[in-house]
Amino acid sequence: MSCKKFQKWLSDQIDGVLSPRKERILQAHLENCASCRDYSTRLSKLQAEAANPEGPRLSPEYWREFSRRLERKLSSVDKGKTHSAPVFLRWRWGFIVAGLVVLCALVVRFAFFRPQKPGDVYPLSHGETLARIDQEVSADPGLENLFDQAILDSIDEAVQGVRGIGPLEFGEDPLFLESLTDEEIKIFEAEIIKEMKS
Amino acid sequence: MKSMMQDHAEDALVRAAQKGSVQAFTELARLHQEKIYHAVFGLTRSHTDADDLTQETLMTAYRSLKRFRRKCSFYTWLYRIGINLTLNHLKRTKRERGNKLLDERIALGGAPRGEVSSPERDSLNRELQVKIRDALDALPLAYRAAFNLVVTEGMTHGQAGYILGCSENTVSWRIHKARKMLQASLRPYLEEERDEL
Repeated sequence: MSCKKFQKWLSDQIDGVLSPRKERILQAHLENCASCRDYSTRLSKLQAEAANPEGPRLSPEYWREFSRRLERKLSSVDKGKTHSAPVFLRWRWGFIVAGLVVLCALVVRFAFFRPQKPGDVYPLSHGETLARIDQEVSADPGLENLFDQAILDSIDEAVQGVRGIGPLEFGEDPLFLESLTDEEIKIFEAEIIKEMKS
Repeated sequence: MKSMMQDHAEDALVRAAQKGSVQAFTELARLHQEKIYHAVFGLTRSHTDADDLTQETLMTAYRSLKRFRRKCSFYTWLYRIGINLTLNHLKRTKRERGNKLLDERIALGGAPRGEVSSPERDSLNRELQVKIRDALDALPLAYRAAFNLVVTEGMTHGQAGYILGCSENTVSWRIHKARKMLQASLRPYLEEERDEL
């Protein structure tokens, strides 16, 4: 073990915090190490001198005046302020956090869970829109015929548009599947399954 | 037994002061003000600073009495406030070595304890005291504070650690370093003294 370690132990020994086991090891080392013995002597001397209480000797009159000054200061302090801060100051961080939580909750509530009014049309809900149109159309037979006609016209338009580009493959014809019989559909299905297996 | 009675009396004063009795707090201050003053003076080396900081320590303690939970003695708690205020003051003013030292130093008197007094010995001891004080002033503040509390004020490492806000082990190392630095700078005087003796 190096002398540096023993120097630390010497310091602890002076302060009375060295364990008995270390104390024995230290004594054994000191018997054989002149350098550490000298260090120990110097530390003891230093301790004796530094431990002397040092400072100005002040008269009792000074301390009486000191106490009077302190009493004047104490009496001028507002007791309400000295002993307890107002509740809102003592719990200010709690209040701030609680306020933020409530604010976040309100933002989430109104941004994502806004209550729907009866007249509102929710942009993402096509189902509801189509259901309403269907309801309106089926109530009036004339309107229903017009609506059916409009749908058929739009399908024709789509078919002709596609035909205008080039010859139609059977899969591109929107009415291809509609025109097949049940038997043809079964054959078609069997061919697809066979194709998928291969 | 006497100490226990004193503790009990002090505890009663603390309770009364916590309930708002200025008189009880003044009595507590009277019990400890001198010790606080000397601890602060040991770091500042200035009578004016030590006086101001002792007053400030007691005022701070009065304002914070409700927060004193009796985990340590009132004296240790007061010490902690005083030492922290002093360290902050020294850091703030960057005046670890008091410039007013020469103006305000009040002569230290008496021969060191247990030694035969003679004019030569007194002179030698006085010189060594001055050298030690100067060497202490040259130490880093953290080392000086730990050294003062343990060596000069006679506190345990645990108490010093509580006051300085560090572990006992840290206090132990700081004191070791302080002793090492002090004996290195005072070595000629310590050896000279020994040779002359």
